Parts: sequence; C-alpha cells; structure tokens
Amino acid sequence: MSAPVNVTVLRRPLLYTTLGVLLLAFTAPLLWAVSGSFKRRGDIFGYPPKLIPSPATLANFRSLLTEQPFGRWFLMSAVVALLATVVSVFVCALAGYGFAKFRFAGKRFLFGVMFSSLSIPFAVILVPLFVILVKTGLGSPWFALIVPWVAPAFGIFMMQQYIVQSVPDEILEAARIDGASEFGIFRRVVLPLLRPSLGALGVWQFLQSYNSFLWPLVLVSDSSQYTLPLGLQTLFRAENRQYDLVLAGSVLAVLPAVLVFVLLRKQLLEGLSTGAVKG
Amino acid sequence: MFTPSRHLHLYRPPTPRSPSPRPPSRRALLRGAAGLGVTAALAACGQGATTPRTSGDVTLALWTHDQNYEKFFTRSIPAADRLTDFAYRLSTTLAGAPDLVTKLLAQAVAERGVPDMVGFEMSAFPRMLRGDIAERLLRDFGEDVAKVPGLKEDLLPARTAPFSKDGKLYGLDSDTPLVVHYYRRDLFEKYGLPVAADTWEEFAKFGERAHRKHDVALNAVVTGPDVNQVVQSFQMLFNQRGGGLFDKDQNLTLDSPEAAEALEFICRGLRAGFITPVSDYFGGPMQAALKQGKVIGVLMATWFKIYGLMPNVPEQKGRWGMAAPPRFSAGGHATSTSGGTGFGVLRDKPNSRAAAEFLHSAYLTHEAQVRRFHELGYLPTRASVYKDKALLRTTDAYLGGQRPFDVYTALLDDAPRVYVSPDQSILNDVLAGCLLSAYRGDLTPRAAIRKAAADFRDQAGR
Repeated sequence: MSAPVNVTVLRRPLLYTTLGVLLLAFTAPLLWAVSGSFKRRGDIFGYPPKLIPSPATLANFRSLLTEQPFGRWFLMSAVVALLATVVSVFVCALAGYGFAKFRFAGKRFLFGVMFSSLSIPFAVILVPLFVILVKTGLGSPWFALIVPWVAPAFGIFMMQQYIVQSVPDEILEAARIDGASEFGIFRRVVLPLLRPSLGALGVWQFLQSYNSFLWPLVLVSDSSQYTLPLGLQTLFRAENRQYDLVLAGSVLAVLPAVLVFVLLRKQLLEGLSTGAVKG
Repeated sequence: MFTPSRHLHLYRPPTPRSPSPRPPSRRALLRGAAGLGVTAALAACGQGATTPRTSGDVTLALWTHDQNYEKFFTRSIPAADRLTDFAYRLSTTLAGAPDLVTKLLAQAVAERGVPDMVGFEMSAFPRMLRGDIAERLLRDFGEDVAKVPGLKEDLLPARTAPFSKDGKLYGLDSDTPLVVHYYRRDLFEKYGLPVAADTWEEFAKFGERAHRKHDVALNAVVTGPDVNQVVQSFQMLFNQRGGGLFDKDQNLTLDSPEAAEALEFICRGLRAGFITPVSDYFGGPMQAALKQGKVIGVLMATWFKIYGLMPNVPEQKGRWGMAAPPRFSAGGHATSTSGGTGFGVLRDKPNSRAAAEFLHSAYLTHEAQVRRFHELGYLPTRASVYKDKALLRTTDAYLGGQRPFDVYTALLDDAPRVYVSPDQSILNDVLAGCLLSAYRGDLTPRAAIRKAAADFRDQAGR
C-alpha cells in the first residue's frame, strides 16, 4: 500500500508555479516593451522572436531625446500630475471631512449630486468644461490641465468613507476643548490619521492625471506643452507606426508611475484594505 | 496668380431628405441631438466675420497627424512666399487623425484656437460632413479652383469626390492613392508565378497552386480589431469591381451584386490560402509574415510601400515589384483608391485667404505636385502632372529600379470615385462584423452584405 500524499507538501510548489505563470503573463508585455525599446524598428517583429536584442541599440532613446521634445513632454506630464495630485488629495480630504463630520443645510443633496456625478463619463463634460474655462479666461494650459482632477467625486467619497470609519468624534471634541481651530483640527488631527488613504488616493490621482489623454488633447495645441500620452501618440499613427520610438518612450514613461507606486505602496495597500478586515 | 474670393459664403440650410419610412432608432436620435448641439454651437463660429489679411507676414496654424506634412509644408514656404503676397511662417500642432477632428470641433464650439489649415485623413473626414459642420467651418475651394484656368478639369475627380459635399470642395487631397499589387519579384520568379494576371479569376488559380506547393499567400486581408482596416481590405476590391459603399448623395449603395462578388473572391482566397488573414496591415504579424516570405504579395494603396514595406522589411529592398491589379472579368475598374488626406482651410478667419493661397502654392501647382511625389512619395492629384517627363523617368530603388509611373499612368484614367458619408463609422462597425462572419463561413457573402446593409439602415436611421 502506497503512502498517502501529503497535500500540504504539494500546496507550496503548486502555489509558486501558479504565481510564477501569472507573473510571467503579467510582466511579458513589459519585458517585450523593454526588449523592443533596444531594437531597431525592423527587428522588433523579427522571426524567430528574440527577447534579448541583437544588435542592441540606444538609438531609439537618443532619437526620442534629441529629435522629439520628449523631455518637455515628460516634464509637463510629471509636473501636471504632481500638482494635480497634491491639490486633489488636499481638496478631497477637506471635502470628505466636511461631509463626514459636519451638519449643514443641503448636505444630503450636495452629497447626492457629488455621488451621482460618478456616473457621468468625462467625455460628456469635456466640451462644456472646456468652453467654461475658455469663456472665464481660465483656459491657460497650466491651470486648465489640472482643473478636472482637483476635486474628483471618487476621491471625496473615498475620504468621507474613511473619515467616518477611522476618525472618532471624541478626538475632534478633545481638540476643540483644547482650543484648536477647525482648520487646525483638520491639519493637525485629521490629516495625519488619513495618511494611508491619502497615499492610496494620491497614487490613483497621479496615474489618472499622468495617463490622461482626451483632456490635454482638446486643451493643448502647442506641441511643446504636450503631455506624454499626447506626445507618444503623435509617434504612432495608423500607417506609420514608429514602434521603436513608442516602445522606448513607453518604457521611460512608465518609470514615474512605478516610482510612485514603489514609494507609496505601503500607504496604498493600507488605504485600499481599510474596512476590508473587521476590527 | 491664384486669387481666392474674399466673399464670405452665406449659410444655406441643407436640402431636406425624404422622410424615412422607419421610426428613428435611439442611436439615431441621440446622434441627431448631438449633431444639433454641435451645429447650434457652431452657428456662432460661422457668423464671426473678420477682416482677412491680404498681404504681409502671416503665421499659419497648421494641424496635421503626420510630421512628414509639417516638414513638407515648411519646405514649401519659399515657393509660397514667391507666388503670393504673403511671407509665411508655420505653427504646427500634431495629433492623431481622428483626434484632430474631435479637437477641431471642441475648439470651434469654444471659439478659441481653431487652426488655419487642417489635414483630414480620409477615415476621419466623414465626421465633418454631419449636418452643416463642414459648410460652417471650412472654406469651399470651388471658387478658388475655378479662378485658375484649366485647374478644375485637371484635378482628378477620384480625389475631389471624397472631400466634396453638395458640390462644394472642402479638402485638397495630398495623394492619389491608387491600389496596386506589390509582389516579391524574386519569389514570384522562383516559384514561376506570373507577375501580371489579367483577371482575379486567373490570379486565384495560380494563387491556389502557389499556396499548395510553396505555402505562400499572394495577398492579405485584415481580420483584426481595427474595423477601418477590415473594411478597407474589402472596399478596395469592391470599388474596383465597380461598386461603392455610398453614392454622392451619401446614400448607402453597399447591397449590390458587385459587393457579393468581391466578398466571394476574398472568401475563396482565404479558404484556398492564397489570401492570408492578418490582424492589421502594419502590425507585428504582418511584418513577421513578410520577413518569413509567407506573404509575397499585397494588394494595397501606393503609400503602403512607404509605410508598410520600407520600414518593416528594409532588408527586402530591391526584391519587391509593383503591378497593376488583375481585373474582375465581370467588369469594373482597372484599380481603386484607398486612403488619402485632404487639407482644408478654416473659413472666415483673418488667415483664410493666406492659408488658401499657401495650400494652392504647395499642393496645386505643377512644381509642387512633382516635389510632393519626390519628398513624400504621394502621387499627383492633377492629371497633367502625370505627363511630366522627369516623373515618367523616375526609378524606384526599393522596387528594384522599376519605373513606377509606367504602372500609375496605365491605371490613372480608370480610378473610380469614392464617396463617403458622415455615417461611415456606423457602416464600418456593422460591415466589419459581417465581413468577418463571411470569412469564417458563418454567413454566405450575399447574406453578409444584406445583413450589413440592413444593420446600417437600422442603426443610422436611413
């Protein structure tokens, strides 16, 4: 009679194999992009396919940086995304705090309006928003590129939920008794408690703004003020696909997003898991 | 000297269509509402008459989807300065072809930042034909062209038709993209295949043999997610057979024996293997198939050499050739056309006249058309330029030293006119699905065409 199979012994290799396959599946496009960025255009779809470029070349990166205004696109995207993130995280926290902890006339109505705006696709408000900004003289790219991201309904809702769950009224009362101003309470008491969810919202907002295409497309006409998605798109038109440059640009473009994720991953995971585990 | 009219065009409402027997679909109503909104918003744009510049320094705002156009127009400035009373500079905005139209409409509604000149890629232009958008926003080149003796008759109707509506010409095309058959000269010779078949039926016979013996395809059709390319594969043959998706009044004319015949030919090719399915004409699988020598022929527009072959298989330089496509024995044309980019000028702007004159000097003079071929590889849009001796003598190194104008001139007179419709995108969606069903064998060619026509009428409400 054969010995019974030890299920727990098999479980670990099976888990690692599954994870390994998934890891490969998810990273394969990125690996292919990195590999392609070092290849000549004619070699990218060479047969048989090669993961290790041969010959490897830096010409694509050189061409991007010297023949295309890639540096300016990159800077524009990074600055706009960073500004939009900082401003929006602050605004969302403030608005979420207001909805969570204050009573005022029309609160339910305003919250309902804010919440229902989640269902409106951005493409629908694109032109009206653009017209409003232009007619009010606020259509300059630096300002207008940030505007759609400063008070996202999703962010306000997320903050409101987090504050309701994680900020006890007693702490706020104690701070008031100690003589803190309302803004002081928000800055010194509420904001530090929100750190994990602020991190999560920050990453989400950064990526939203950094990857935004439609809004910059309508807003910006001067190619020196293009953001990265807009700039890269000009290299990839239907019949003239500069795969070599697009892959090199995409590899460079993904770096800030990876950096932000690496730096804020702890807050991101904490923020996203809030409320998922019963206390 | 080219002197465009200074008169502003008065708005005339479009001729009302006969009432549709069917109630409008929800999609049609929504689209109608959206169209009305845009039209109403654009109303303000068309009425803001401004004093046109007549001479002096001018910086033209140019929108295009291709850097090559930017380079070409920049190099056109000295000639334009000589031929006109203006001293030109260009300020260029680059964006994707469909994005340019989206951007243009948004800017026009906001009354800010519209360009002076804009390039409409053929698949993006139909959106401008909805309602009276084109009439309100774009300059009609009709009068401009009429003022130059002989020009109107010289411009190829095949290239003015796609950019015209109600007799008005809103775009000057950058190319006459004749459809030709590119073939691997070396492999055709090696496999003993005839370079120029007289008919598609003959082509099919030796194509079947070639696939059986050598596992190669002599043509490719797109079966991927890009509906425009799926339709393009079919439309080239359909137009050559003598049919058209739309007539000049934008009525659907798809449902025809010609369409079924063209589709039947593709289905036969796919089953026999001498036509191969590819995900798109420019992507990785196509490049791999070309590199492996599995696809040794492609029926495509002339610009495919520049954008499809040269960048993807540069090592095959000298091994390709170009021939007139075979004909359908039942009738039709010697060739068809596919693609193109029409440059339009925004009307009622201070720079409208300057932009029209610039475009004329860069696009319509004999010298400009010759230069455009040499610099961009795009064929002239004036019939007389095809008689240019220097052009006729031109040889093409990528095509093994072949004289391309030997092929072009033989095809030119029989290139069909192609008409577009603002509902082109709806047709592309439904037709692509039906074509793929026919390719898979789920529908007969006849049934696929009927279904596409019925679905279009249902969704477009006409």
